[in-house]
Amino acid sequence: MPRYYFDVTDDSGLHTDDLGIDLPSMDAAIMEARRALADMTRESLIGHNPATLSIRIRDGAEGPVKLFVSMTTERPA
Amino acid sequence: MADDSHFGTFLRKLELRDAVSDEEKRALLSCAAEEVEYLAGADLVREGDRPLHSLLVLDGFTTRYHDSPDGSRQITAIHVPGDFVDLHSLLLKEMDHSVGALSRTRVVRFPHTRLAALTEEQPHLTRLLWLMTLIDSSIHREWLVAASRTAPEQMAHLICELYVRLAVTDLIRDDQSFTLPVTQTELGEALGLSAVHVNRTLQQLRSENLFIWQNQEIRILDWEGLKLRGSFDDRYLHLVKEPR
Repeated sequence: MPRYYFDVTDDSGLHTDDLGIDLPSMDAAIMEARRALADMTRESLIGHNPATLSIRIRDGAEGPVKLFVSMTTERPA
Repeated sequence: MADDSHFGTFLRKLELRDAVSDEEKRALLSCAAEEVEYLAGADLVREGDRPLHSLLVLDGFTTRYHDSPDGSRQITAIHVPGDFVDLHSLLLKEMDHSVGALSRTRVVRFPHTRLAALTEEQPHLTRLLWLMTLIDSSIHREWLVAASRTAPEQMAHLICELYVRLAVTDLIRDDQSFTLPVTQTELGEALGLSAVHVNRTLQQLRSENLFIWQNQEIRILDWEGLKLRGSFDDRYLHLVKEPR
């Protein structure tokens, strides 16, 4: 199985993944990234952090593929 | 027939919580039957099975887990060497979850007929075996509580728990490291997190200089800091020696 690297960007900056995860395909890697974004968005929202999160998936042959989530609070002044 | 040394780890766990007489040790040992080995990834028992014996793990790491219809897996407990992994099946009869081997695992079988007879003759020893299943339950409760915390807190808590449980059986090396044969995916299945989130959390905790996780080996860098990070209090492991 190819190894995919998931670089996460959150409010504290870019976290480059140097461990990677073995997965069967880029489609499986994208599903992993979606689940991770769901988990991390929840945590980020609870923590009152600005909720902009992104994951860049790297592998040797394909990519990078980028996913991101942005959450905005609109409040009348 | 297994001898005393094989049961060292399990007996230490009992003796940490209460005095165990030589007669009780002999009675327990006399219930042991054959040893069986499993390769990593094999199941010791499966959901739906009706086992005729309970399994005491001599060597190796195992998990309790549930498979979901969507193909995902939830790990509800990580067992360390010396745990009596399915003492429950003596009374529950039908398994409501599976037990799988994370690494090569050696177990000794305790036939239910012998264990049932033991409970007739050894009331105190019976209470101690009961205690061990109660501690399994208190660990489940603690995991439920931990699940409401953030990923780094939850992971720090799990690492603290494993460190304490392995220290009881001398499985922590001098440099404060121990083996944990789990992948990031399995760690995610235990914490209810995606593998990517586990990966990110491990890197975050490493940057905080609390512990290093590499090649299935964990080295604690800052024990007090890690306990604080995971809000860890070992009360639920009931490590107090007193008459029970």
